[in-house]
Amino acid sequence: MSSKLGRIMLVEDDPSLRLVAQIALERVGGFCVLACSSGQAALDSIVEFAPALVLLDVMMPILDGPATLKQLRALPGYKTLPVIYLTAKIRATEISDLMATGAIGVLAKPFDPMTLSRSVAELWNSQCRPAQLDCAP
Amino acid sequence: MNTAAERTLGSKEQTALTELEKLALVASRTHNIVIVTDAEARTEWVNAAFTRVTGYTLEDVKGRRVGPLVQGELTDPLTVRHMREAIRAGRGFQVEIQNYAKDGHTYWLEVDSRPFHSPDGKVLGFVGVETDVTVRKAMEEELRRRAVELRAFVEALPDSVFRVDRDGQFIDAHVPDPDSFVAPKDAVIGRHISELLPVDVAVKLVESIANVLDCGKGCNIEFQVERMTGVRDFEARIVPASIEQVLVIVRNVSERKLLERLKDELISTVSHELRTPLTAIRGTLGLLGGGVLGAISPEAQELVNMSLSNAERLSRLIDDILDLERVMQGGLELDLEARPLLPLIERCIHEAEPFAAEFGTCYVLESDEADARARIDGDRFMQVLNNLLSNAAKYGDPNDTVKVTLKSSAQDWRISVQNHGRPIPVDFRPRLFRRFAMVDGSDHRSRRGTGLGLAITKALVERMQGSIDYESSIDATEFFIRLPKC
Repeated sequence: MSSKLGRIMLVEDDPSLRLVAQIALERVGGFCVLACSSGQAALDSIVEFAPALVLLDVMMPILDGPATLKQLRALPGYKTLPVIYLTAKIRATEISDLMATGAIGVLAKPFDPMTLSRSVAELWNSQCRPAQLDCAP
Repeated sequence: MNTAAERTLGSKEQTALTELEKLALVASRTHNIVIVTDAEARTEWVNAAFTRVTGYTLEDVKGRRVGPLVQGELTDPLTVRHMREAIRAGRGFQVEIQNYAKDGHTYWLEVDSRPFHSPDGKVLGFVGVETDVTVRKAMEEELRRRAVELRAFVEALPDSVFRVDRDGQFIDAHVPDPDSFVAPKDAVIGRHISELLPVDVAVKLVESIANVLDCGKGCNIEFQVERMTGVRDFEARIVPASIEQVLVIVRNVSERKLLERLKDELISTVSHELRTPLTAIRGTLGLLGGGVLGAISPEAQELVNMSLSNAERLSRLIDDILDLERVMQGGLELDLEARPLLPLIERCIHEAEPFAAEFGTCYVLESDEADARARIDGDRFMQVLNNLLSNAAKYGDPNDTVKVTLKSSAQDWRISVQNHGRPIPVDFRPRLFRRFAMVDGSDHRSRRGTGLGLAITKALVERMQGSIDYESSIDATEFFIRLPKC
């Protein structure tokens, strides 16, 4: 397993934000990105795409971020896949609630497209050392 | 001196005479009025107390009925009639009556009049013992007046008010709107809280009542009750009323709660709906300006940068408005805890330095209060200080040194931020802490403010039980906050 972050699944229901984040991750970060418009779409394509990390919006209709994460964890082999929330809910209590759902980090909206990729990579590097990834599927 | 007459009396008669002397002595010395009349109520004898109270002497009244002399306008005619009928029938009577003294002032008497009889049962006359109860009557009247006033006071309250004992039994009740709370007044008194309210609410109330009685301090609780028409929100204030009793003042706050919920929802929705497109705009401009999608002309770059800074300003404005709304309405939950101040101040200064550097400004911290602690919310305290630090840089002279101090006073910690430069315009000062207050920028420096900073800062400081003020002169402007020590 590579210790370098490559494939990122982006889950965001707002089309403009989705596009901005996708371009930022692809062009600035050089990642391979699959952008999904809903939690369900993400769950449907996660096995095929096999991302190293999921960047997940919190406020979405039907399946919100935490609900998507819960269903993701229920899939076989997805107990420890690193997930980062991308959200405007950045009050201290909100962040701790979100972290408690099993994410490795919370990034604030509005985000700076020029630094988004670096923030994602830093979180991934600090939280997901290869030793930890060995336990992953 | 033993007279012949006395010597002729037998021992039985002697004893009776002594008894009479004793009684006469008591009658003349007692504080009560004693009045002896014949069967027609004509006065035969009165004691000194009679004269003291009424002003009439024995000579004034001897052989006359006292009634017509002492009765007047305020004397109750029914009482007078009752007395006359009793006298006519040879019966004793007990009444309370308001009479007039010789000089015209009125007084109240408690009268106990008994007939005395001849051996064959004929009424010979009456002995009246009368007590001056003017003071007691005045007190009773005062009490009655106060009770009426108090009742009017309570009746005027839109809230329900209950007097409840320690066990949770309703002693008294004022229920202006039976539909809004438990039941009408009459259905409440004598019942127990648990008979009228759901178990969880009853338990909460009884516990709070015991607590209030134990520590002698009032408390507020909130609870919900499900009614036929839906769930109602109530707020109860419990205060000690007397030994083992409390007053429970219950207010229906359903409407306020509903509005609060609607507003919270609205704020949350507006916040999300405004921020999402703005995030997209800022992101797009960021990508364009960052040259991610190819190089752009210097003119285009300038326009993109300008748009970006406007988008950022709009974003700050939204944050500030929502923040202010939450702080002002008390909807913002603060995480209050005793925290050390100095490390937070140091961190704030460190974080504000890059911004201040744009104005050539630097900060110096002066304090040796390393142990200073106050009950604050760490993030919100930093927001407050950051606002003061950035204001000091924005509105001070270029290349200024802003002095930050943390000092101890009797009860509080005083944190101040002092810059140098133009004083705060005098005509602007009254608006300083209001919303959308900003000094008109006559110079070209970008203030980059929303005009909400100090309003939020003040509200936040007050939520942390502190205060904020300032002093501004030609030389320097100093903003300082005070936070209670803990």
